Amino acid sequence: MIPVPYYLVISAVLFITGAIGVLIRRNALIMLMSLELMLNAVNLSFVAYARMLNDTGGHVIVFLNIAVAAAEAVVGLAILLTIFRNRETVNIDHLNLMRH
Amino acid sequence: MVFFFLLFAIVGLASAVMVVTRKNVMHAALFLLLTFACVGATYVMLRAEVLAAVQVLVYAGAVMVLFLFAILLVNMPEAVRLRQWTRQSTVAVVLAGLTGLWLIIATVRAFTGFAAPPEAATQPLGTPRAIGEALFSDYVLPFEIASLILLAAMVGAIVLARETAREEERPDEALTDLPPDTQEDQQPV
Repeated sequence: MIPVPYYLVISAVLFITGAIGVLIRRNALIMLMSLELMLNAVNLSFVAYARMLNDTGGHVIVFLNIAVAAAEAVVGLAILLTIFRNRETVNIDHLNLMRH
Repeated sequence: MVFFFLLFAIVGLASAVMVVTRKNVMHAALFLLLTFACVGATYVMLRAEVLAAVQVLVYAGAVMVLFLFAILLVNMPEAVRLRQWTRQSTVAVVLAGLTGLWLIIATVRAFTGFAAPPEAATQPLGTPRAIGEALFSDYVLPFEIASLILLAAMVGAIVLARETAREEERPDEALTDLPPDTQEDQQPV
């Protein structure tokens, strides 16, 4: 039986990996993938707390969270495809139209 | 049990690092799939079997198919040759690493000597029945909000796709070199 805080440590490392991905990559697709990594880390910590406190509420929140993550991926990728059709790039350094 | 925990933890975290560092977007997507699978296996070890099934169906199924379609539509050969990292990489990694270190230390310090409630092993947790009962009694409002969010995402995706289609049909730029009879046929209705 693995103590539950070890799962929380895994979740923290996964979250930080995703955060680093969002911060350092310039490819918008990989930034969206890193966002999914961060959401997965949060879900993992919810499930770990549900196991620790023996509460089904954590599972329900993760259930709803997965639905929200799917919606986020759909809208994010649709916006990305629209940007790609108009600007021919997914490099976020080239998407500075609002600055000029 | 310890073996499987270490296996899924190491494979999942290593493939997460690969997602962040790979130049090729397709390789990153396939490593992301491996991470999703490992997180799903970890759900099973935490007695969340329903969530493991949902994770495999929704993340490893639907979301990954979406990502792969987007990669195939956006595929640019020159994207691999570009500089991949922002200029503030070092600062970002150091700051995120410090935050992660603080998070881990706080977790470990908070839970040293913590004992789970004694009834933890007896009550059913994460069965379809328990999740369904909680979802339709205590959490019925978040459930309805989630359905609204899904509806909004669906409408949003359709609107984004339609908007670009209408711009391509705009007659002043796109159709000037066509003969006049086809021009009349393709006017937006």
